[in-house]
Amino acid sequence: MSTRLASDGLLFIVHSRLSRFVVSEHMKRCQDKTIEKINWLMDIERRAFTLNTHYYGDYKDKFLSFYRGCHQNGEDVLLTRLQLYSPAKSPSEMQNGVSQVLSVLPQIGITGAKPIDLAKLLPPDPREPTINIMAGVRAYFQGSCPVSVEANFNVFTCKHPVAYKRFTDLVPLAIDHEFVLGAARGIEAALYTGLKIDGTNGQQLCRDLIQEPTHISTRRDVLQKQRDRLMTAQEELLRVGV
Amino acid sequence: MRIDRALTRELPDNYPFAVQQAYISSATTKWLDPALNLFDAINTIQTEYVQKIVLQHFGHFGHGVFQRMVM
Repeated sequence: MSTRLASDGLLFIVHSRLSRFVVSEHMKRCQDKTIEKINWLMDIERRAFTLNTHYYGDYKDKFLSFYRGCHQNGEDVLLTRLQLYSPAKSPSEMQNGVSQVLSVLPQIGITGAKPIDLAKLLPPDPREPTINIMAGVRAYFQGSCPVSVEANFNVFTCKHPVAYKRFTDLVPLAIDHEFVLGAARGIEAALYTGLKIDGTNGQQLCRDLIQEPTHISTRRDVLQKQRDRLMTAQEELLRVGV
Repeated sequence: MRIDRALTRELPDNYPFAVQQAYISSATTKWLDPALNLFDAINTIQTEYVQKIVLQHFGHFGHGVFQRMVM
């Protein structure tokens, strides 16, 4: 028994020196790789870029009207009202006005105009360059959740985000690929090499590793002997009984 | 206003792209923290889970020696 305990201990020492925490090390590698990928994603977002020219232009346009409206009225009253316009609603001065304007636009060759487009007619503003910069920047981030001031301005439903959503998609995707699913990749190889069971005396090592704990096998021996003795006793008792 | 005081080698009403880029960067540089927070949260869950599997898988062998070697 003492020799087996000693060999367990020796095995542990030898092995722990060679390959302690194989899985932990593997996980650490996955963590490092994931953080590297996140940093990479941050790096590429450093420069503003999109090929979604159409969506970007569209959003920029809408934000231009939006900011212009805000600046003109001090609030987005006009825009909200244009936004809420619906021909079916009970007629009001606003509704009538909008429908009149829209109905005569085709006569001067403008077709397909929507109520919200009327905001584009607001006169140019001395702050136009500022508004232009604001709209350009804001459109780039379209796809984020609307902030309070734009909350009821539902032209900005986030269907085709420009920069924000691609990042919020890519980060979880990268973490999943590199870390969650990535942890499973290569774990087998890491265990084989880490535990040194792919080497020349791998078979022997495996045999040692799955060796039963000595206290259990000793206990089993004792119990088995007891059982044997009891069985013999029972047999003898039966014979006496006959 | 800042925009009125700013002067570049451009004609009035033209503003270099660097202006928009600067505003965009001021937002995007703040993205690292939430990204790393997400990773930390997932890391905690995953590490706990892996520890559980390692215990289940290797715990039975060799006095838990095997398990200790692995994690």
